[in-house]
Amino acid sequence: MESSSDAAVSEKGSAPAAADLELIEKIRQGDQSALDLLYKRYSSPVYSLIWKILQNSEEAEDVALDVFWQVWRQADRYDPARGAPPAWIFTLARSRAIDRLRSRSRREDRTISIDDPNLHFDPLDENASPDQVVSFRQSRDAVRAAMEKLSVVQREAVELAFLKGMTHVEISEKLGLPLGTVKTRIRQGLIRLRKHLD
Amino acid sequence: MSPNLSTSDPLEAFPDVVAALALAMPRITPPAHLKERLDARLGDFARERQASFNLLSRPADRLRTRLLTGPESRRRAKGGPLARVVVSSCGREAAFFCWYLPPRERFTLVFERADGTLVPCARLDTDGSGDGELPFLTLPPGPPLSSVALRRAASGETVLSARL
Repeated sequence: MESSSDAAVSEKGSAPAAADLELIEKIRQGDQSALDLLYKRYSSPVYSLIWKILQNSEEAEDVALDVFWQVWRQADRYDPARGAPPAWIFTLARSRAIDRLRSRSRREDRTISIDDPNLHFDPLDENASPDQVVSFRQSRDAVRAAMEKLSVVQREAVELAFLKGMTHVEISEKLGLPLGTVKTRIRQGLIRLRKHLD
Repeated sequence: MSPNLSTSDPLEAFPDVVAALALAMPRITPPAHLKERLDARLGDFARERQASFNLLSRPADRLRTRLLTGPESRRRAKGGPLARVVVSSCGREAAFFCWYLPPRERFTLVFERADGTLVPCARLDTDGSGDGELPFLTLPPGPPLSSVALRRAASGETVLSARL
């Protein structure tokens, strides 16, 4: 059952980290309603991220299921020192999706982009509140603005790493740049992104 | 050349950026049955846990508990593979737990009966830390069990085993 305070939090779209921490703590104690609330909050962006990486609905569903299962089973492994709960959840989702992508043992050489116009499904659930829509648009615009501040190579490298799970070595080979240059540019790009997104 | 940077995942040290990028992506509503599947898995898990609890809370004289060791040495190196199996004295129920195995690998748990017949019991996938568990297993009735082995699913190689 969702409490009134939980409902208030979820209506804000981007839940405060403190509320997410409380949910993780409840999940750690075996509270299934906390998992329900976390699912309600993050299932859409988690599924979207996985779908974007795998481009396959069935696989995306399986991987998303495993991600929430892992959150349920391994909540005690969540380490706040490594980031807020969304950082943990999306890192799990991305890692699992990339594992699945690699296990296919084929990598389609398609053009990818964080803002691929062909992938503009409904921006949010039809039940999304105006606050959620505004919150989503604000984060999307912030990321777009931050990405625009990167050089073309940095942006391409970040996208290859984020959506294709490419390693430094693979990106270096794909872009035809020395490994050290790639490492430095990606790191500087990510630090810049982090600074702008803060 | 930048020192001390991972040659693997460039985003490893940037989970906050991963979250920000993910939250800014166009949203796709997941299929409704995703939640149904999650609820079903949670239900199965709860039932399995209860059955496991019922098994493991039996008096010691109604259980056989064994540590499994590798084929080469009975002395386990620190951080080496470790497993524990608990089998009811009637040989019809078991629980299995393992640690420090290769991560994300598929294994098969195989029991051997006193008459030499093998009972491939269940598959087990280790998690990212190399841990795994089969908290409750129902074994088919038959002659008494004499040993248990954990084998790699791909090669059939026995990683750990124990006499019961």
